[in-house]
Formats: sequence, structure tokens, C-alpha cells
Amino acid sequence: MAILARVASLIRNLTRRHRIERDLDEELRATVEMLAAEKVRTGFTPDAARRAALAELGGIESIKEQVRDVRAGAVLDTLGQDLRYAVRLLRRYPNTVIYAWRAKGTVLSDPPAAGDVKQPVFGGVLEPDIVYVGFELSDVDLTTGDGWFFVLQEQPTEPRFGFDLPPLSGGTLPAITTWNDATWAHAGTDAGTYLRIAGNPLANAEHDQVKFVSNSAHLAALTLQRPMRVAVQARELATLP
Amino acid sequence: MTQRASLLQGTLDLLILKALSTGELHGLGVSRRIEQMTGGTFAVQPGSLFPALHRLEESGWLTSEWEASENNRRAKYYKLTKAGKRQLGEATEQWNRVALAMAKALEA
Repeated sequence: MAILARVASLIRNLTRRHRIERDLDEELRATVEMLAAEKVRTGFTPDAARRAALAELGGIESIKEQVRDVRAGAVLDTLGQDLRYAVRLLRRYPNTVIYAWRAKGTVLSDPPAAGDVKQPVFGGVLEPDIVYVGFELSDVDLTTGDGWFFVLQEQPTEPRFGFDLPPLSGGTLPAITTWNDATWAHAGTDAGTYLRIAGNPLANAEHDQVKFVSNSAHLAALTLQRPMRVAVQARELATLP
Repeated sequence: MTQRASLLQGTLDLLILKALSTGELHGLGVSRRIEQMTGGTFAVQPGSLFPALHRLEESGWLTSEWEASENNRRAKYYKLTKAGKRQLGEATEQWNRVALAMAKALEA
């Protein structure tokens, strides 16, 4: 879940700039309207009120530029963290494959029909930390119908055991409904150290018919880290006309 | 007529936090409230106000939501977060210390 949370944060930040721009535009337009309405109440004609409101607000483009500077700094800070995380993710799981999958509503068209999955037509690495891939998909492909997802998929490899990192936002830990939800924090252990069995907060917890911790087979089953697959709607990543 | 004064660096953030301490306001409302609180001494220019509002929101001291304004227009309303209330308390304390020290220095 920690991986999903970071990828979701990356997507939010990539799309956030467009939302901020729209929001700011609307905020300044609303302010001009409110200022003009104030002036109409004091006897201005609507046209004169609007002109006076615009003059009072000063250069709208200059205000936008200053707000963009404030926001861009913050976006770049968090985007930088997310991108560094994505790069670490690809380094840690170098066999991650990236491909495109046609969307059906808000999910993948599963099972895919012929032509619903596209592999990259080119790709490469720019050292030290950029991985790029290119798909034969146009703006029209992405905006027609339900569009496409880009999928990052970790290939099955040797089994790995452990838990996820706890949520970055902190606070109360979410309830466990399946062992895949368990984090190091649920187990009362710092990530990367040895799992304490005696007096563990999870003692006797049972999910998926696996009990903490009856024997080594149960311990292996409840700590098995399954490969991840993350699908991102391509429209959220691309700047479309 | 009241003489308009320039805002000292850093005081705009404090005035915005204070203006919002009694409830949520839109950008224009914040500007009007500051004028009212300072007896017209400070008129905040939109060119300073909006970047400051967005900066304070990025810092986590304000949140904003679109709501209907008093004239039934859609407006973006800002309000203090818990962290913003804490910041207002700390900044007020710091300001009082500075103001006292300045007053003492100028009387000396």
C-alpha cells in the first residue's frame, strides 16, 4: 500500500498544476465580479464598475505569475520527492515492465481483446535517473472513449517476505482485513529489523485462514510480498489539447 | 484622512491569519477585514494578497473551499487550519516581543 500511496501522490502532483491554474483563474475572475458588484452598489454603471474593478485589482497576469511561483515551488518540492521515489522503485525492481492497456470505464478492459494491450515501441535510460518509454498512442487515442491506462507491473521473481511500510500520513493504522494490509507498524516493529514474535501486537490475529504465528509456514504465508501492478489513467499524465 | 502605511515584511501573513481568526473569508473579504482591523491604515494590494494566501495554504496554515458568496456568486473561501491557529498564536507572541523591544529602544 505504501508503494500505491506514493504512486498516487506522484499522479496527484503531476495533475495538480492544471487544477491550480484553473482554480486561480476562477478565483481572480470571481474577485473582479465581487469588486464590480460593490462599485455598482455605489452608483457605477456595470461597464464602468468592471473597468474600475480590473484597475483596482492591478495586473491580473502579474498576480497569476506570483501565485504560480509560490505554488510551483511547493509542487516541485513534492514532485521531486515522488520522482525520486519512483526512480528508487524502478532501481529496486529493475524488472518492472511498463505497457499500455485500454480502459473500460474506470478499470482495465479485462480480459483484453486483440489490440487492447500495447507494448512500448521504444524505451531507454538516461543516466542517472530517467527511464523513458514511448507508445504508439495519439492524443485522439487517449481522449476517445474510455482512453488508456499505463501499467507498471513488477514481474514475479524470487519470493520476498516482510510487510509494507505504514501510511506516510501517520495517524491511526487502518484495520487489517487481509494479511496483505499488514504493515511493520501493525507488527510493532521498525521496518528492516527482525520481526519480534514474543508479545507481538498481532499475536493470534487470523486472516485468510492464516494465524500469527502458528508455525513457519503460516509466518511465510502472512509475510509474503506479492508483486505489485499499478495502472494510471493516461489522461491524468498527459497534457492534452 | 488616515495615512496609508507600508506593511513590514512578515506582517502581512500575521494580518491574514488574524483576519481569518473569526471565521472564513474570501480573498476580497480578507482584504476588507484587514482594512477594518487596522482602521484603514493598511490596504493590502491584490498583488500581495493572493500570493500570500496561496503561500499560507501551501504551508498548511489555511485551507480553502469554493462556496456561494454573500451575493450568491461562487467564491473561494479561506479558513484557518489547526496549524494556522497555532501559528497565529506563536506569531502574535513574537510580534508582541518585537514591538515591545522596539518601543523600549525608541524611548531610550
